[in-house]
Amino acid sequence: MTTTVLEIDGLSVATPDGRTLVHDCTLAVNAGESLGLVGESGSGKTLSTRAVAGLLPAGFTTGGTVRLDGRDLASLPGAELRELRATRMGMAFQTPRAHLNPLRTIGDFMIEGLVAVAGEAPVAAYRRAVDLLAEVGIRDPDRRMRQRPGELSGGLLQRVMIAATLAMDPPLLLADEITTALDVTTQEEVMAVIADLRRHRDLALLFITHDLALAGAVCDRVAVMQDGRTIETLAAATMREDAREPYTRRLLSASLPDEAAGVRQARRSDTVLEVAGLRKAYQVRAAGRGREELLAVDDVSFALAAGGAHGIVGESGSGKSTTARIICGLETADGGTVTVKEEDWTAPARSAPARRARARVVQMVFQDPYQSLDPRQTVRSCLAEAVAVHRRIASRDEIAARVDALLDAVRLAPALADSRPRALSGGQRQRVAIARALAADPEILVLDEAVSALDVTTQVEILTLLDGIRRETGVALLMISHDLTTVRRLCDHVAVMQAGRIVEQGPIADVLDDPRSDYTRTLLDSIPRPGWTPQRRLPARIVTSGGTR
Amino acid sequence: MSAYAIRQLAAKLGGLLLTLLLASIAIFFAVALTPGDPVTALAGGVRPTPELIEAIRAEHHLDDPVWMQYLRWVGGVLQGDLGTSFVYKTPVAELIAPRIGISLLLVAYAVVLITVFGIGSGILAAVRGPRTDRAVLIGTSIGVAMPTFVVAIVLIWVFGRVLGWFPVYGTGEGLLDNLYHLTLPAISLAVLYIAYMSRITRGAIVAQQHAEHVDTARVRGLSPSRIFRRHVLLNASPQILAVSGATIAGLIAVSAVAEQAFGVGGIGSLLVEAAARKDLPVVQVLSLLLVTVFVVLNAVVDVAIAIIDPDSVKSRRSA
Repeated sequence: MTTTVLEIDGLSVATPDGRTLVHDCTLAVNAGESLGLVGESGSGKTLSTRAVAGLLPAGFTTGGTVRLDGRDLASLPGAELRELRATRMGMAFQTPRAHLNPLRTIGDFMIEGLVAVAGEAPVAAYRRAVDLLAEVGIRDPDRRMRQRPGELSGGLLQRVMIAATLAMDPPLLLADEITTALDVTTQEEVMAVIADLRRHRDLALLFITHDLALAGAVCDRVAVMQDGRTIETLAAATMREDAREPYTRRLLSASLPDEAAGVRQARRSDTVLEVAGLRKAYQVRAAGRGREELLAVDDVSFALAAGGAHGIVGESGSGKSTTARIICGLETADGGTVTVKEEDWTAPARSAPARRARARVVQMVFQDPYQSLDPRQTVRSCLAEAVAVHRRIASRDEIAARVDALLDAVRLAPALADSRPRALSGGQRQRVAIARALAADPEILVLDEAVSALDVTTQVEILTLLDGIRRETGVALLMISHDLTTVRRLCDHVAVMQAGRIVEQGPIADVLDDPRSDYTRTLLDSIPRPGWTPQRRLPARIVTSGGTR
Repeated sequence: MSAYAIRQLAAKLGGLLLTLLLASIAIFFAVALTPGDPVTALAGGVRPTPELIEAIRAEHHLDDPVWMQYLRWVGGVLQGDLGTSFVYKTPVAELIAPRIGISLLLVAYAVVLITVFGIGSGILAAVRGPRTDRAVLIGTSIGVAMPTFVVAIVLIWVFGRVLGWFPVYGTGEGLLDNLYHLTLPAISLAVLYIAYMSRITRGAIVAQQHAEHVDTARVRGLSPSRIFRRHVLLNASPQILAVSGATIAGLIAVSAVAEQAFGVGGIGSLLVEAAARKDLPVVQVLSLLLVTVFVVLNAVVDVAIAIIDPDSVKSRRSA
């Protein structure tokens, strides 16, 4: 007979002012089983998980029952509840860097629970912590124990976090979007670690994610949440056939990994952007004494056709963002040339008019629409400002007409024009950011991870929008991404970067369907898909103690 | 300590010495350039004859170029010769020595009050729920609006006149009596800073209480008091320390007001008096002393912060 380690029945969560955000979350995780909890942001999956973990903000109220290890959480007094949670479940979060105390060493973090909660002797706790770090595949645990979170990469920190949750041997791990902030290859590593742990420890897993393909690949069953309700629970293996709810189908179609991009516009021969032999080095503190040079961008060359779409993919630290920043004039290259419309743009623009003239040609859309928009500015005033900057003599009426046209171009309802970013969803904010970039009528739009922070369904909407804009206006797209799937949806050419160099480039179908470099193959293999099992691989690059960000 | 940390520390020390050098130049020239002839002060009230003026100018090297006067002064200070008061005709060191103790006691007293009540009420406001928070907010709103001299007048009236609990003038004999006499001056000095530190402390702690790493600590079952000490207070402490350093250093200058109001014969009142009587050597030395204390205290605070948060001294990597 299987036992149920976590049972959530009719859980509701309400804010202090009485709004109900979660109406009915019902699910059960059996011992040793892994259950995926999927849904878009705002569907209530994270709030439900936080209710289980006791992390709801002050004043939030809950209804329904939650049983952990067969015990009703509502019936337990404070101290006992704390101990039950501490020993019978572990929780790992999306952003390990924010979730580890930056001032205390990894060692402190690892042994704190053992010493302060379980009352183990510090020496024994230390030994156990080292073992746990080794178990999640950290190769020099003793050294890591002495370091602080700032010295480790995101992937390593996520392993540390997972190792720490295992300290009490809990039967259940809550994993809240633990790989969302990681590169696709690092995601695979972390998922492989989790798969190993589950095999060896008979660990049950509640895996919260917005990525249905990933959930389907690593979980036994998948529960789908929409608008605060669990609408259906499916066996992962057959979810594509069994899904009944239209919402689930929509999620499934959005997460099809290899949907071919539509028919490409015939490539025009003229090149709007050409990068040749680009090089950028940073002085970094060496592991021992002195300083050493880190080549962030090393001999990078590619060309972007007018009206074309070129992708640059690679993991964080591969130099793809630095390349984009050099093209936009946000960084200065140490070598090589940037040619835009047959003008040499390698040196930064000297004067404000020159900078503005360049900005009329190249515009950038950033990853995080939550941070790239001024929270106090309405959509209309944000766009009007951008229009006024680029056409300085426009009258008020002309500006208003142009703003309306921009809103229409990004398919934003005119009613939203007077809202501030806070009132908009992530997808709507990114539309505003795209509209702001289009205000200049640019010939090149640089998209720096422009859809990475969005839900899969929203990603598809934004990518479709961008593709439409490219067809309508003939703007060329340079897309920087760690996600091969999104690049495939939008681009006709792609360059794969690793450690500052382009390891492979060419037409998208050639590179992605018939990769010649091992690294491209690794990137492709680590994309979750039906029948995918995460593998531990040799690290594609040496993670130095300095880590990368 | 790593070689890197030692280099950082050495750079810090060099910066400190440079600051002091620049401060000494600024102080000397600012004082030397003030309008009025120091001879008037030196003559001590009598209408000086041309011969007397001549003699005074020669004795005090007033006819030398200003930079020579500066070098002579700095050289003297470095060798422990702080110069001679124009007004009292006694060495500046002898004027300062008996007064510095009482001033330090006053400042220390105020620092204790600020730490206990300022940081204490800030912590309470952050952890004790909305009612305490509101009460502290109202109290500190009044506190930040009360300059030292206003508080002094109120205290003298309430505790000196109406209640008669504390002496309102002088410093008394012996440590306990000193402290008894310094209570009102210390309170008047501290009120503004108590309110200020309370706000800073509350803000720093509330920010840390909502930090995501505190969620991690909570879900691991750590007790609330441990979470508060090891994750909230520890992480809030660099910010609290940084502000405390600047506050305490500033107190020494502000203590002049409290000393004047309560007739405490400390260096603060000496500075005010010397400035009024154009006693330039005293003004210069006391100004330099204040700057030194300010700079050294802040350096000490920086080191303390670096021990808590080693990353704070690291140069930011650009990659």
